[in-house]
Amino acid sequence: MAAVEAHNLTLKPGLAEASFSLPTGSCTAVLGPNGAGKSTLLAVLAGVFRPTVGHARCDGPVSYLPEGFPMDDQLRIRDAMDLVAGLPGWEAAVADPLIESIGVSTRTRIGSLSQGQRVQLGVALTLGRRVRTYLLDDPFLGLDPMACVRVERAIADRAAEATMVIASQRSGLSERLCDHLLFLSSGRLVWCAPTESWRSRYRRVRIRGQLDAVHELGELALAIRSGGTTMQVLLDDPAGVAEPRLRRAGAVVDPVPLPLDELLMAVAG
Amino acid sequence: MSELHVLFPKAAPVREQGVEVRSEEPLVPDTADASVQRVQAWHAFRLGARHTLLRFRLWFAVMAFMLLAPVTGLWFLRPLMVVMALVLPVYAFLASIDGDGRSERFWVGAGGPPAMRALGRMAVDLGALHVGFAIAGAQALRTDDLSVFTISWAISMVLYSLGGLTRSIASATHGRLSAAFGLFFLVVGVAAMPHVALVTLSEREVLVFLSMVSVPLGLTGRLLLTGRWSAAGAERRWWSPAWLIAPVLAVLLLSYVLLAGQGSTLLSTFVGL
Repeated sequence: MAAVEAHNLTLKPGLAEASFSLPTGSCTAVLGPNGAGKSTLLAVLAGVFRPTVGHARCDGPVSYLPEGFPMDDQLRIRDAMDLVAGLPGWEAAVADPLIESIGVSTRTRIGSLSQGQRVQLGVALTLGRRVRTYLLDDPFLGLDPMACVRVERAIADRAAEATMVIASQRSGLSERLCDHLLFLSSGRLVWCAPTESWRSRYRRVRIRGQLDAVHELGELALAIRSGGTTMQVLLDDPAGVAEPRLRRAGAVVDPVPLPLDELLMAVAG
Repeated sequence: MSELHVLFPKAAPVREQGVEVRSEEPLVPDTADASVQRVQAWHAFRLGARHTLLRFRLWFAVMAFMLLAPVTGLWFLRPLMVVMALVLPVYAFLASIDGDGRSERFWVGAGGPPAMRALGRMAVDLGALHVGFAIAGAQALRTDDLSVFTISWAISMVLYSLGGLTRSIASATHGRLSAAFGLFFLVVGVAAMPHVALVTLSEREVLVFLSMVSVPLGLTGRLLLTGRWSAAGAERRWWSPAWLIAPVLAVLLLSYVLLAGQGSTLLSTFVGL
C-alpha cells in the first residue's frame, strides 16, 4: 500500500502536475537542482501549502522538518523540546543524544545557533516523534562532517520503522540512505522510481581498444568523455544491450562506478 | 585532454510506480499503537497556549509581580499601574502579530488543526491581557483613572483583534488585501456610525462599542483564515508593512474619535437595532 501519494499535484509557480506514489516503509530521496520544487513538494505533502490543483495524501501521523528549521529565534532549545514533547509519540531517547551532540546548553536561544546547529536541533525534534511518515527538507544543510554522520545514523534508524521522504542536495548521502529516488526539474517530476531501477537503467562504462565501437550505441549513449586511448560512456540502457553491442564491435568494456550527482548532472543538463 | 560530449541532455521522462524493493517487511508502527497517535485538537490547543506562555514569559512574570501590589502596598506600584495600562496595548499589538509564516511551518507539519493552535494562543493572549487589566482596573476604581483604563482596554482589544486578522489575511492573500481591508473596515465602517445613529453615546461608550464590534469579527476571521496561507504569503514576516496598516489606522481613528468627541455626542443605530 502506498504511504505517500500525489495526483496531478500543482502549486503555482513551484510545482506542476506531479503524480507519484511511494510504498510504505520506503526511504525516498527528492533530488533536483535549485528551484526545482523540492521544498514546495514537501511543504505540500506536509499540509503547509494547499495545492492549486490535485491532491496529496500522506500516511499519518507525519513529522515534518522545514528547510533550515525556521523556529522562533526567541525560544530556548529546551522550550522547543518541551513544546514538541507535548505532542504524541515523543521519544526523548531518540532526540536527546542528537541535541546533546550540538554542544550547547539547552538554555541557549535558538536565534543564536549556527545554521548547522539549528538544523541538527530541527532533525532531533522531527525524528524525536515516533510517527509513520517523516518529511525532511534538507536535513544535512550546513552540517559539519561529524554532524552529518550522526544525522545520517539517526535517519537510518528511523527509516527502519517508517516511511521517509528526504529532500537534499547531497546526493551521495541520499544514495546511501534511500531506496527510491524522485527527481524534479523546473517544478516537474522527471522520475520517481526505486534506486535499483535507476542503477539498472543508467550505467557508466570505460571502452578500450576499438573506440569507434561507440558509434554502435546510438541513443543509448547519454554522454561520452574521451581521454586518449580510453573513452567513458554514460549509458541510458534499460534493456542491457549496450555492452554486448560494444564487445561485438571489438571494444573492451569495463564497468565504472557512477556517482548519483554525475548522473543527475548528465540527465538534467 | 578529456572532453565531455553531452549527446542527450534531456532524458525521456520515466514515471514508474514505486515498487517494494526492501528484502524485509518494514516495521512501520500501526496507527492503533498509542505511541503514534495523531495530534488531536486538544494537543494543538495546548501547544498554542504553551507556545505563547514561553514566548511572553517575561511579560507574564511582570504581571505576576503586579499581583502583589495590593498585598505589599509598595509606593512605586501605583505609578506602575499607570505604566501597565499604557503598556498593555503595546503587548496586545505585539502578541497579535507575533510569529511568521516560516516558523509556523514546523508546527503545521506536526499536525493537528491549525485553528485550535491559534485558539490556544488567543486564549493565553486574551487571558493575560485581561488579568493585566483586572489588576490595573482594581487600582483604577480607587482613583479617577477609569477613563484611562477604559481607553487602554478598548485600544488593546481593537489592536489585538485587527492586528491578528490583518496578519492572517496578509498571509493568505500575499498581503495585497490587507490595506483594502484596513481602509474599508476602519474608515468606511467606523466613520459611518455617527451619520446613521439614533442613540446618544459618550466617547467612552463608543470606544467600548468599537471593541465589541471588532473583537468578535477579528478573532473569528483570524480563526477562519488560520492555516490558509499561500506559498508566497507564508514567506512574509510579521513586520511586513501591509500587516501593520489596520492596527495603525485603528489607533489613529480611535485617537480621532476620542479627540473629536470631547463635549459632543455620537449617535449609533446599532444600539437601537
